[in-house]
Amino acid sequence: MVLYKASLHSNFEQVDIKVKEALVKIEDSIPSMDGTTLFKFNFMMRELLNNAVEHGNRMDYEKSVFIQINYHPPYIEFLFEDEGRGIDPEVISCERIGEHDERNSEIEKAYFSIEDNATLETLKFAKAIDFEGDIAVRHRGFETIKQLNFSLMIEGRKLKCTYDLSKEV
Amino acid sequence: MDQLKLIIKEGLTANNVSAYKNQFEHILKEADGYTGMVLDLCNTENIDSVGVTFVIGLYKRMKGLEKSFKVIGASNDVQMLFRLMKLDAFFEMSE
Repeated sequence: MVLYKASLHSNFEQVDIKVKEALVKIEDSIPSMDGTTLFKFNFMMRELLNNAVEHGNRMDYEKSVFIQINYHPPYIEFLFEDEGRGIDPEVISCERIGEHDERNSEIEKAYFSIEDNATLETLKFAKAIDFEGDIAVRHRGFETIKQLNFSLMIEGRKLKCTYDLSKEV
Repeated sequence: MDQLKLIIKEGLTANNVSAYKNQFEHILKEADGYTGMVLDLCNTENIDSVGVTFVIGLYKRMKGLEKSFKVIGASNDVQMLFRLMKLDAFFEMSE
């Protein structure tokens, strides 16, 4: 069952609007949903939409981000897609350490590797020099999503984030 | 001892943080004689890592000025998130 489907222009105001809309749809469709789980969805959606807006679409207002939320009990599935380049194919199975890359300057201070299956489980940021820097922020966000018991799968410009509601107490 | 109290009325989210930063700088310029900062999150349920980074920035700024920093009014969910992000190691927070 599709709970919510929308597209948004690439700015943070749009992210805020769409996340609030999505949360209302989820609450209306699944009245038994508890507040903490909704909070997790709220945080996760903001993180992944912000990422798509800022890093996928490079804050280009004319580029869209697409979100769809599917419910197949006990799983709730969040699908995100931006209009960016996707994860650089050269980066897959490639390690870069402190390398300045004109094409992808946000990796300038980070070491990361992405395995061929491109799941965020294997997306490792081994080092983020700047505690407050862009890479550290995104690392913290992704790591937190994992710790909130979401599973993540990336395929190019698409990201699927799944949550098993049966695991909630 | 006087504490500088900041109350977040909208979300701690990417769409609001720029405005918060501007307001914070303005407040800091005007403030004097305070011993620390209290950040009140009683109205905050919407949060993302940009907002968290803003909080970290407040903490580091206060630390640089050798002033105290703590968070009050944080819901259990917000506290849970801050603990996951290991922020409880840096500053005090309470409901």
